[in-house]
Amino acid sequence: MEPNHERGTVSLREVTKRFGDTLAVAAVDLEVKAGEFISLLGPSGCGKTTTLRMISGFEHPSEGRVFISGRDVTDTPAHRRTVNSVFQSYALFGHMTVADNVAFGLRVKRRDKKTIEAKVHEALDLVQLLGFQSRYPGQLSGGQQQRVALARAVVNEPEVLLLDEPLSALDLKLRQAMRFELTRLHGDLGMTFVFVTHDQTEAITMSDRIAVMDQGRIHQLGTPVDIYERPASRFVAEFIGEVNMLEAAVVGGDGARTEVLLPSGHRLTCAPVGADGLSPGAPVVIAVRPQRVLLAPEGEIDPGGHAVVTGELRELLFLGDSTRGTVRLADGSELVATRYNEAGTHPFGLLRPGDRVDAGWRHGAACLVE
Amino acid sequence: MMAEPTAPTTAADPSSTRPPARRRVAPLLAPGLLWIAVAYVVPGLLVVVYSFLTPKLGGGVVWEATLDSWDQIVAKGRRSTAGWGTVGAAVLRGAAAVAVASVPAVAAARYLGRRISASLALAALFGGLVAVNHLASEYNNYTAVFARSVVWSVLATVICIGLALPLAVFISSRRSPVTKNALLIAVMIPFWTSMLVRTYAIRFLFANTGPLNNLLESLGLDRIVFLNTRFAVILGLVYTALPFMILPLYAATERVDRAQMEAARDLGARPPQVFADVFLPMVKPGLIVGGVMVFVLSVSQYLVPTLLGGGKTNMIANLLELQFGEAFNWPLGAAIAALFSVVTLASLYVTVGRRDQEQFL
Repeated sequence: MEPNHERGTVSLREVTKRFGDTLAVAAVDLEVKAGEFISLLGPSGCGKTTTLRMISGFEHPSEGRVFISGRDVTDTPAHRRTVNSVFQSYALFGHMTVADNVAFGLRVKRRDKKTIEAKVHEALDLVQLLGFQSRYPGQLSGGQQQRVALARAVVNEPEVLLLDEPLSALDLKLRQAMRFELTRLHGDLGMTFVFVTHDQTEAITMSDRIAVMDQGRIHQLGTPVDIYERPASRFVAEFIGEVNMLEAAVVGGDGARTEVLLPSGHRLTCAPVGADGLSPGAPVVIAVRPQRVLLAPEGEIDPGGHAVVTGELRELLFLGDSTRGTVRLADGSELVATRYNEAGTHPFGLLRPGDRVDAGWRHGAACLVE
Repeated sequence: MMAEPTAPTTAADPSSTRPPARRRVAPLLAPGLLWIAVAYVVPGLLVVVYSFLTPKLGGGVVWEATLDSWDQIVAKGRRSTAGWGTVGAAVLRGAAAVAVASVPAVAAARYLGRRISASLALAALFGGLVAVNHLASEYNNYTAVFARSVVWSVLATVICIGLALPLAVFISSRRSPVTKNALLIAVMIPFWTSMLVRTYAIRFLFANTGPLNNLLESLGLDRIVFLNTRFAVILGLVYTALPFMILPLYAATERVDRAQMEAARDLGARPPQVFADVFLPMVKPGLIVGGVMVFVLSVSQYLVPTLLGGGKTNMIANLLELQFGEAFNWPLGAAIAALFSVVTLASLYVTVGRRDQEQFL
């Protein structure tokens, strides 16, 4: 397939990176659209940073090709690529003022003085740091340094902005504020953002699309809703948010539904998502989010519209904004249900630990993985 | 806020505070300060005092104040053994050096996007060194000895930086700590032997009938006169001082933030620009410490100019030895030593004393 030549696209074709015997990135294919905010999400060591460094040019792929705006840049050195990076440690030049840091990229490209001055001013305005021009990085707070690093990168008007865990060194409040800041910047600039993070909340709240990575592979690529609601694998389901995992076996079904049998003896009907063509007897995992699980006294959940299992309520845990109930099924497996606390009422009615309860969820609220 | 009015009062109240940190660490500082006073300050002042006294036959001083020594220095400083022709030749050489040096200097400045004035200043400095060096080789008075000592030491420092920087980068870029330690120990191996022995070894190696010249001859080449030349002295200075440049530079390169170098590349800087704009500023503290050590060690060298330079009054230390040892004119020696200290301090002040203090400390 011919790579997309639109300014701001990134294409990775069968990109593999080995460090000695270690396979860091394994034949990754990725098409980043122009102007998109895409996140590479995964645990540490999953290959997301290595993937980013192959786009920025700091790592050379062992195999495969890298395209930026349709040009093959696989053999282009980092300083000649039309992308800029925001580093995890910010990597600001400690011996230069804020203004000189931001001007660095324009100076090495020998833009004229007036242009540099105007663009530096504009970039500092964009990150709300006007008036800090003559400070040194050591005199700034973490959040301010972060914004200088952003300004230093975007002032060059790169085709793609690469961000390597830029928020991980900030404290919680600042991180939340910077999330909105980054989303706003992305909207204002219309630039392609490739964002590397291990924080699912960051990825979900900021991205147009998320590529979930593990062990050098992309497990799933999709919108935050796709990733959250229709995880393609057990890894993705577990990595994003909290989820109940119930081992089961396929016993029947057609294109519209799948019948599964739980070790606890319950027979459930599930949507066929991600498990088409599973033959009877195949092991699957039912993934259902805790907030989708209803709890009620035994026999009170309508088995027509719901998948229902029964068990014993083991404990109720007050979490402040919500309450968490744990149900143990006949085979010893556990299921978690959460409910928001409303003023003056008990979230799970009159249920008490030790009660026999129904735990159920609407057909379609759970999905089968693997 | 409610707490604000009371806060300054608490801070200003001296009665509740503990003794200041200065006073508590005083017992720890005392031995070191006492040592500095006894071993450095008192002899230093004594040297100045002696320079104003009358020489005693056979060494020592007579406690009678006189300005004779300083008169002699001024007289010997002025007395020329060469005419205006030599001065003219020196000026011409200096100008030629500036012209030759400014071509690569300007080219480098343009390539790195730096101001041309700074590189021209470097070229002018180089030309000045060449001119002074020429004068110092033609004249033979105290001024010449001082100038020669400073020029040779500057050259030795520059050569040491050139040799040590790649080595320091190489050592600090080794992954295994075992390799690093082995290389660092190798750098320090020369310290295990007496400097006298090592300098004699160089003499033997490079002698007119030594192994190196024998090798050259067996290859059908001409023998080289190496000993008792300027080249031999400068090589000796570099050889002696090199570890003092490598070690601080190694410490500095170890602390280099690689992310900053990547950031510079990311922003479009070519490797030479990354080196000049990001790497050098980061290792600057090491360059300054190493530079000061090499310069100070070299400018006061006695063994190297004596053994490799042919025992003439090549450098300041030889002059001192002459006054204290052979001429038994202690006050004149003291005056030379005092002037020497002033020259050294002035050299250091000019190069690193002002704007870099912050990074140096």
